[in-house]
Amino acid sequence: MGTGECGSLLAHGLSMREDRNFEFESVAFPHAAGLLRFALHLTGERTRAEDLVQETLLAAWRNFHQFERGTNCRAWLFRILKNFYSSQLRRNLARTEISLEINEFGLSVPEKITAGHEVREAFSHLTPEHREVLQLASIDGFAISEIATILEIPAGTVASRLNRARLTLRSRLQKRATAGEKNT
Amino acid sequence: MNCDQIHEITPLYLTGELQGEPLKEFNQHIAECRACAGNVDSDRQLDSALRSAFEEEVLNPSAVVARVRKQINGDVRTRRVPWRVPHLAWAKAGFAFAAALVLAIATLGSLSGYWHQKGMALAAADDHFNDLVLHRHSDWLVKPAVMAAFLDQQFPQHAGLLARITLEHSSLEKVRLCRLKQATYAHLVFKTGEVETSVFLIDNPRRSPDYQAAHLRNVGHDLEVSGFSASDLSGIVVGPRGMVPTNQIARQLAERLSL
Repeated sequence: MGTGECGSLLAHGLSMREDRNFEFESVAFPHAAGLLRFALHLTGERTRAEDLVQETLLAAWRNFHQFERGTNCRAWLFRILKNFYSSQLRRNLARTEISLEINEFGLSVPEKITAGHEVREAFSHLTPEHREVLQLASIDGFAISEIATILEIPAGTVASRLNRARLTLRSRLQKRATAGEKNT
Repeated sequence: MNCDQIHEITPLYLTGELQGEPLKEFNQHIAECRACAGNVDSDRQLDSALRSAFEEEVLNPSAVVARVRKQINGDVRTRRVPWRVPHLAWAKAGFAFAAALVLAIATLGSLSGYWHQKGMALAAADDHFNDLVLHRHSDWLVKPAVMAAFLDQQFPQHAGLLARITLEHSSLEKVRLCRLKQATYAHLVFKTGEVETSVFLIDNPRRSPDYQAAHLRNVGHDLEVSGFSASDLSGIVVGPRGMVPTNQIARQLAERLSL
């Protein structure tokens, strides 16, 4: 094979790779904000959340050949992120005992005292399991069947977790509202 | 269905996955049972409060996206120029440098005299980024009939505008009014596959020179922008750099709207 042929094959391979990059960016990057929000609620820390999203997107890119065109890319990405987070958590738990209750969100702007703040605060005190189902269903708008795929649990478990999560959140908000009324 | 069963399947009802006979029974039950109807309503309100609360969060993923893009492209570069064939690597680097130089000269040339347009392009790119990446606005119209009525109302002189500006393999996803540099534009978002392209439209009966054809290859946020002017309408096209050929789209829109 001469250099010319080699160059032409290389150029062809390069062009295919660039096409693949374009395709990946166009289907995966629009979900970066949603992934970041999910990661933030899982980790409770901005830097760790960004690292998790970066790891997720790079893994997705490396395995993009396994992704079936036309299927649900968003659910696929969220599932990768969740898997990464779970394995990180397992590694950390093996090393040291950590608190699963996260109190801080690491928001990029100073939070205002608003009704939204109250809701976020109450949400942050839910268990990680309750936070993740509520985020996926109520905030990100995933269907129960999609959440079941992302979290690798039965759809019935997702539904019952959602019911319990909503009940707990509602009760926390009601307690806060009652305490607020008493203080005024 | 009894109240316990209703409680069990409420999550499916709220995500719109309940269908057929179970949905009919669910609706029938909550029409008759005030306690269950109250619970469903309360869950719906809670979801809405959660969505609003988290929409207030300013989440900008551009830093992490840039890091990923850099790594992906870095990976491509290391594979694309193997160290075993240095002569090819140098040839390719030289070619890339020459191409970049020609491109830079061409871009600079095409931009000279258009500095005033740059401000408009940047404003459009910012609006696109705020709307489609940061999701800062919630006043989008999304129903086809409502969007059609909106266009009729905003551009009464242009019957059948939507059909003329919808390009092949694209569909109108949403519309809203926005302000760019003290001017009110209709912001239309078209979707082609997973890629979103913004088209900002404004009436321009005097064909102001502010809106002559122009193309900016990089206006930040990894976006590119092209402007166009046609008959008495002008517009700006914004899309992800390298993914949406905004200059071609702008040219096509100018032709279609001039017919």
